[in-house]
Amino acid sequence: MSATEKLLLVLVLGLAPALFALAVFALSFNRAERLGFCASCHTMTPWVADLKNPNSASLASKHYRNRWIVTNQCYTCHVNYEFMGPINAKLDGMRHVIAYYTGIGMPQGAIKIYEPFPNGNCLRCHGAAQNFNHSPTHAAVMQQVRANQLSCTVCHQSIHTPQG
Amino acid sequence: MSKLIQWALIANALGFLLAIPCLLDTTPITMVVFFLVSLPLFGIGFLLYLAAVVRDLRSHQVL
Repeated sequence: MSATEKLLLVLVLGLAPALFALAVFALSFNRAERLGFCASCHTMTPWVADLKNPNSASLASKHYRNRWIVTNQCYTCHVNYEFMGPINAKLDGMRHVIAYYTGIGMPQGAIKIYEPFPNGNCLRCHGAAQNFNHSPTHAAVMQQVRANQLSCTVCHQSIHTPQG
Repeated sequence: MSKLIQWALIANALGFLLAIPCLLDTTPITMVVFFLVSLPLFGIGFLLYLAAVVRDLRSHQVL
């Protein structure tokens, strides 16, 4: 084998796949944060329909329709803002696909979140907001809210109102 | 060309083919195919290539 052929093999079997995989990896991780990505699973159709429903009173819908969250609406609320949060969110998404098609790890009954919704996800946007901090209602429970001892969702209902 | 290199090329070609849907349109399904099939195929291709290189070096008594 000539030196040129060997160099070509390094490119074709080493460098090119690594660069290509890295590009697809980065691109897919970015795209996986979009609403369209979540909406592409038909299981999520009622949730996405609720989000876009002009008559819905759900918090998620208000956030979407009023553009309180401009992009990546599902991801913005459902990713945990910790070190591994963004990666775990994507791994969960892929696990859901495998569970759906293989039945392995498929939860029974209605769809629900794995753990209580952490206040940190709300406070990431609202935590420094003037209307949040100056509200007398919030002031009374601010410590509990910030310590995640009292969930935002106790008072702020309904989060999602999927139909069907 | 050794059999190992041929298999490495096949694995890589399959890896590329299966990654293209994810590149064009990332959906949960194409993403799962990329992460669970394409990436391992790239890895297998690279390992086969490394094995071929080691075998070649040994045949020339470099290793």
